[in-house]
Amino acid sequence: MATSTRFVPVAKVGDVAPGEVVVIEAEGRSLALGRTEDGRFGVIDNVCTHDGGTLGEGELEGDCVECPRHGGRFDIFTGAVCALPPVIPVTAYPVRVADGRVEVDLSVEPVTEE
Amino acid sequence: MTTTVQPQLPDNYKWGWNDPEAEGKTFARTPKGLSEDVVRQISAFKSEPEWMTKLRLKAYRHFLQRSLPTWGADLSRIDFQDIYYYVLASDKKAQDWNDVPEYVKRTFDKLGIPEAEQKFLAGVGAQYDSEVVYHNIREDLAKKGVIFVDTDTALKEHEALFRKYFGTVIPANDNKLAALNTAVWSGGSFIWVPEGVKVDIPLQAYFRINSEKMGQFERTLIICEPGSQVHYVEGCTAPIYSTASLHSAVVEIIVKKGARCRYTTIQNWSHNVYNLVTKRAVAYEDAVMEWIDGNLGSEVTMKYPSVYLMGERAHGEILSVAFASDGQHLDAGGKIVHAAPNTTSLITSKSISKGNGRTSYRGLVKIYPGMRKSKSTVRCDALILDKTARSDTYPYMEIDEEDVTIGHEATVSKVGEEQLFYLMSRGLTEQEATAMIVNGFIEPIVKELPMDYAIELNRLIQLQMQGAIG
Amino acid sequence: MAITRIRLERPPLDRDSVERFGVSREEPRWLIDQRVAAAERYLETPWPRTDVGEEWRRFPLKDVPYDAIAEDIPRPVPLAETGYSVSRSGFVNLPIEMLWNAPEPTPKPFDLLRSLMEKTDGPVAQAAIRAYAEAAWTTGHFVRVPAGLDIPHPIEVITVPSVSRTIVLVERGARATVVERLIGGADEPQLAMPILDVHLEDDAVLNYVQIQEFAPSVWILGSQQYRSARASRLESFNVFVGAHRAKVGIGSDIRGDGAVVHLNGLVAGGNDQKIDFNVFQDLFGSHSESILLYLAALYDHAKAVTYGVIRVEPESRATSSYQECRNMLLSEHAGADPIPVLEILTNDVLRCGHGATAGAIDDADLFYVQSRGLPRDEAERLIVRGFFERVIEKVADADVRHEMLRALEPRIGSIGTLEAA
Repeated sequence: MATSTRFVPVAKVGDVAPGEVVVIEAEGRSLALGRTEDGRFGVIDNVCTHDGGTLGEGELEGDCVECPRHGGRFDIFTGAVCALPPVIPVTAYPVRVADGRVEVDLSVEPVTEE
Repeated sequence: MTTTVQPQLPDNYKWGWNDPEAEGKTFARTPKGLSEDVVRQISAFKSEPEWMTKLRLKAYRHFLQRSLPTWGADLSRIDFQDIYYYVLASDKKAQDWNDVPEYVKRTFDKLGIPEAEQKFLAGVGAQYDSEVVYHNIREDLAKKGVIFVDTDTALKEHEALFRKYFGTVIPANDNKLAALNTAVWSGGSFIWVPEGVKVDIPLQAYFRINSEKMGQFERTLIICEPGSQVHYVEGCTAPIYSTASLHSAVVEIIVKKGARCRYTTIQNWSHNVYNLVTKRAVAYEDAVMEWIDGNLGSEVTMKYPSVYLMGERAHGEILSVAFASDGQHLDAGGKIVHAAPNTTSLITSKSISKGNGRTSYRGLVKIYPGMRKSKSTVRCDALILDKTARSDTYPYMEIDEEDVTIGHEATVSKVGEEQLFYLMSRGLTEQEATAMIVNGFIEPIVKELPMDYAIELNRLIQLQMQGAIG
Repeated sequence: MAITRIRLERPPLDRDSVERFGVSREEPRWLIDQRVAAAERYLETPWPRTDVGEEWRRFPLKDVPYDAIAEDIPRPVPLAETGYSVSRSGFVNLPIEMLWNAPEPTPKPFDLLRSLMEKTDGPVAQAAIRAYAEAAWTTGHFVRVPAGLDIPHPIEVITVPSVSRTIVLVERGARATVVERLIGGADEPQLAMPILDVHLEDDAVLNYVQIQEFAPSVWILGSQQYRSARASRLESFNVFVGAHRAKVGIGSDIRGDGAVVHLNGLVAGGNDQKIDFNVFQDLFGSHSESILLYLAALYDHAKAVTYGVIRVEPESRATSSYQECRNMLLSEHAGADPIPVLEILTNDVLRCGHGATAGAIDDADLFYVQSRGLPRDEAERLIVRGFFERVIEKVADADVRHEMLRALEPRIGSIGTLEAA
């Protein structure tokens, strides 16, 4: 069952070098945009589910971004936990590249913390 | 630094002594204190791959940024620059009993492990001044494909496996001491049990600090593939000497689907050691993880073995015993995180404080939203033997799911007059009667220990009761 | 028209405006001096932080509407019209702010009140809040029960959202029941600071019931301090239903031998309330008893935090202490953080322990009740009512029990004919 997607440009391809992760804002949402060494882009929510650290300010190693606060890691493509102490995955967003722009599907609802 | 006055131990007390020949026989060590250079040296001594060196350095930088916890015991007397972080006792690893240096063999004699018994045991990695000098793997274990080596060897011989799991349960940034350990770790055990394999004999290791101002930073990593089973016993001991010493280990355990792991520790460091340990396990679907934690020694212990229940029907159990006498503060407990529905946990803590000793139970039960039908029970009992002793209980519960059953109970008591009177009227001295009551108090946990350890624990408690130690 | 709210980090206060306030109300000089001293203390005391200490860790301090402190400055009303009492026997039940305008009752309640108001102890975690309240209070009550008097009917006082001080003194051998109702509040967020001080002399007996039904927009930063002398007996009840976010610090200081303190709480939380208590039970005397029983029923997205510390001091002997905190979670998004702490510095105790639970209604209990023909939601109400019964039944006065149940009704519902008179 397809719900309509809504891809929104968030950055230019050149804004993020391979191996880097940055914080981006899109429609009031704070997201972490990472680019793996092989050039692919991944986008996840910026807030670590363990203790609220800022993932986009962490380091990207392989496919996982590391939260600077306690070292928890999340897969930049799926949002799954790669290393503790977080146990709850973060929301991941479909990403595509079009005309040199990185676009994120914001039709995905983030899993909100109360 | 203060000198701790230690009375004469009875001859039959085998766990603590100073080996005169061993003293000063350390062959190589890093300069005193901690710096980026020391970290690089340690990595170079071990000829490690670059990714490990980089990780150590990153961890060291993080260590500098973090501060020590403000809760728990008083850690203000630790001087991180007054410690030797790496000492190598022998310059090669012995594969054969004959190759082991004489004084190391004497150590094993004193530990009560005659040669024949050594050969029989499943496999023993003996930590001696930070480096494993003797190691042996029993043949049928090797045939089953079980890997049981010291952590340094694991990094060399099983690098991909090691790298896959190292730091995924306790990352370097987790806390200041985990950062320290990740920077300077050396030795410890690495165990990998293949799918479906059950190891029937407990795997054991002994530790010993035999150098003044020696810090112990072993790193243990245990991986249990689905359906496997293993019991690891860690028993440490330390000789008596007069300046503070730091033991800051990290233990990471992964228990996959349907597997079982039990990790038993009897800690009896001499009373000037700071024992600050981070121990954590993840348990997946239908897995069982059990921590059995006995804390008798050290001046200060801060240790909270944890289980993260990540798959349905996982079960975590923590059994903890602490006995604090004069000058000791044992701050221990456990932490269980329910991150899957239908998970269960049990924490049982028994603490005893005597003289002006202090025990604190510190624990956390956390239930994430959506983890329905989870059940957790915590039971903490404390026995205070003297008016001057102290006991605290700090149980934290964070329950964010409705459909669960969470219970916690604690009691604090002294030795009952009637009980004492009854036993004494049967001919026991007050001390004997009290020791008997104390043994009864901790019995639910002692009965889970391997026989040797149970006997040793009871004997150590007898000695503590007589005031022979501390 | 949008109003810009200024983001404050703590309630604003300055020495001079406190002085002017006291003067404008024609307060006695000693009271104005006391206010100013409190203001100075407030300015020197750090405001709580979520990253310092355990007591405030789970409370959203940054969202507190410090710029909207509820003000209730009562207009002057002749004493005769207020229905308050001052009797020849010395019994006093007066709003504090009317005390010096009232005809002189006996014996010298001013001096008494003054010495009571000089006590600035209270829960340490609430020190800054108390200091602010002691400087800036606008309303309050003083209830004094003279020695030996036994007041059979409950004494009721009403507190609206404001910075208020309620002071209850039960003298040697006297007995009374005081019911304080916290009601009122507007639609806009407001910050109320209700401060309670209870003083029990030797052999005094007090039942104190606080029923908190503030409007859903009100924030509470409150403090309750109970002081117990020899052989005194206190039954305190906190019935907590209203307000949006509440942080209440409760302290019980038992100095006298043989004193008994029972701290009871009934919390019925709903919507997205956050109800946060920190309790400190301190035992010094010998053969004294301090028992805490807090029961919470949590609906919708409500969350209850109970951080309670029992401290048995080294000089105490043969004390009994217990802390029980039970949380019934009645919806998927409800939550509880019960944290009972023990700090025991002597082994000379008769009894010491704690218990805490959190979870949904037991399936077996629900099945049993439903099997008697009740639909699910009624069965739930019945079970919750039964859950709360442990505390309700400890209240001797039927009218007071009725009041408590009436206050709880919007949350836990009514059970009609099952209400025993």
